[in-house]
Amino acid sequence: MAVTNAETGKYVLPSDFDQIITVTRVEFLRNLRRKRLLIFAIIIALVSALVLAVPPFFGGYPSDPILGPYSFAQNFTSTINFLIILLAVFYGGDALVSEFSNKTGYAIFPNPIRRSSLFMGKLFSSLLACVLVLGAYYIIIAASMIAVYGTLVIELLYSFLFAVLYMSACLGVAFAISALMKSTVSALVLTFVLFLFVLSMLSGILMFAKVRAEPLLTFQAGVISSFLNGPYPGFFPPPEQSYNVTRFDFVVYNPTVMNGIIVCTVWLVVSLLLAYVVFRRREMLG
Amino acid sequence: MEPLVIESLSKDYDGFRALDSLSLKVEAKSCTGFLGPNGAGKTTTIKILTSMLRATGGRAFLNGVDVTTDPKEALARVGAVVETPEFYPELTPIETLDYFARLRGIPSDRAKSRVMQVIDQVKMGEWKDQRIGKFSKGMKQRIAIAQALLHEPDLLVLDEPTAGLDPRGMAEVRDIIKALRLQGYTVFMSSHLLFEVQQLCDKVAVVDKGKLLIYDTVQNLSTKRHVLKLEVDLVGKIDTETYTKVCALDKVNGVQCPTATKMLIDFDGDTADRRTLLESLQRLGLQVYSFADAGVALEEFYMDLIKESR
Repeated sequence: MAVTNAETGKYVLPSDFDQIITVTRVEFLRNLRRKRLLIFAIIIALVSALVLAVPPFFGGYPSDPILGPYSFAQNFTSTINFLIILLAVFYGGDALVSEFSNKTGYAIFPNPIRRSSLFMGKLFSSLLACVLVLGAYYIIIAASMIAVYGTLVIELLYSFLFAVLYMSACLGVAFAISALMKSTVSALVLTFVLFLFVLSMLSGILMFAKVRAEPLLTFQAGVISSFLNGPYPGFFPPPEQSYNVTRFDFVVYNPTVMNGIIVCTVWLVVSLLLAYVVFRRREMLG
Repeated sequence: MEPLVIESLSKDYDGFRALDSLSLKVEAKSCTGFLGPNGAGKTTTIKILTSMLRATGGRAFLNGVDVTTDPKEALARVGAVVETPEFYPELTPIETLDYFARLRGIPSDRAKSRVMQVIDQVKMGEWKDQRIGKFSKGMKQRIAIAQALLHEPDLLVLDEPTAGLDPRGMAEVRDIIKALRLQGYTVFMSSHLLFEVQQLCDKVAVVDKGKLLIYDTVQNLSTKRHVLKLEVDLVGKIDTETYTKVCALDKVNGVQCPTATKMLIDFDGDTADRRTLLESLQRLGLQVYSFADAGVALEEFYMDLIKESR
């Protein structure tokens, strides 16, 4: 609550918490104005329309009375890793670097606000926007499941909760890159390339070499869909599945829930710490 | 208590010393010009004062609070314009200023009227509901000044406040600064424009290579040796004999003739001496039709100072 000092008649500064809320509000308003939410609304509407509209032309929705709703939901989550990466890129990639590269820091930094409050406000606003998009997507999945099968499975909630954790970790990485890079464009491109190419490629190479890509963040994305294999935990895929196709032996590694939670949490904490330290120490040069 | 005290402030950039033990005290209700050539350390100083850069050494107190250790508290009663800041392009001036008002703890009922007041003060009322992304550099500079005045600060730190403005905008900003001085604000401003400093400031600090060269009142600097320059316009041309005689006059340190009928006299004397000089010129048979300050006194002094320091 803002008040004036009785002696000096000057305004008393709000607490760090109040300032974090102020920053979150304004950053969220900016997110709304930038139409990114609208773009994501269009993306999830298009994906949902495709997932709902295409199966009837090819034999209908999965009909198994137990596994049908799971397979149905899995069709939606097959593209969710891409959606989450896009969310991280657009809501985290330029969140911090833009203050320096776009020179908006010249206006904001001379204000009596700690960098930590700015950082938290920006993070909360980005998280809020991402959770809104992700939540909307899961609401569409749930509503569609009820409409088609007349039922709802609890594993959808597990999948959503893990998706939020995974998305937060991706956002953390995007914030770290944003804090480190010099320009907004390079931060966006690097975040995109890291998630879509570098980590995915490393995952593939390690699997080819029969090594589990456990520490890689994108490897853990599989948990989101694995929850929808069937009733949990019975139908959750085993950590390893060996295949022998003609003269080829290969192993498919599946992420596990516990490791997924640990790895995502470590990525989240480490990347946010890095992002915070760099942002707090970064100087307004040039 | 002085609103701005800088103590042995230093800043190194990868081995390059941008600020070298700079010390300065700015008195309350004064307007201090901060002068120096490019790379002298002016913007570095202002960026340290506004928590954009970390000092390598030394301290800087804003209203008694060290900005190097407690920037939030130190900047509470400071308004600043550094370079030409950019604002969030998605927001309007009203939303932007309301944001800054909230960060500074201005209650929302008071913030509304104050935001409108400063918007009117910088003549941006017509664009108050337009998104800033469409604004010119000059318009953004006005918003920057508005946000610096929003909370009625004790100290204004301005980094080249008229940069990027058209001549009319420059004049308006100078009028705003003059009005702020009359209202009792303490102003610390850097500028490349010497006449601007001369016009607005009562004290001048000159820096070069990160060091303070001089800090004195404009009045004192103007009366120092080599500082006073008089411009004399004559009817008829100046010949060599007359030139030599003028050079030999009392308290004349040098004479330049930019045109055949004009003399620029470096003069080391007070008002009475100037009257004597005019009489002497007339006694020499020169038909003087204009005799005035050249208006470049500070520039002359400044150039001498910088030359000596390099």
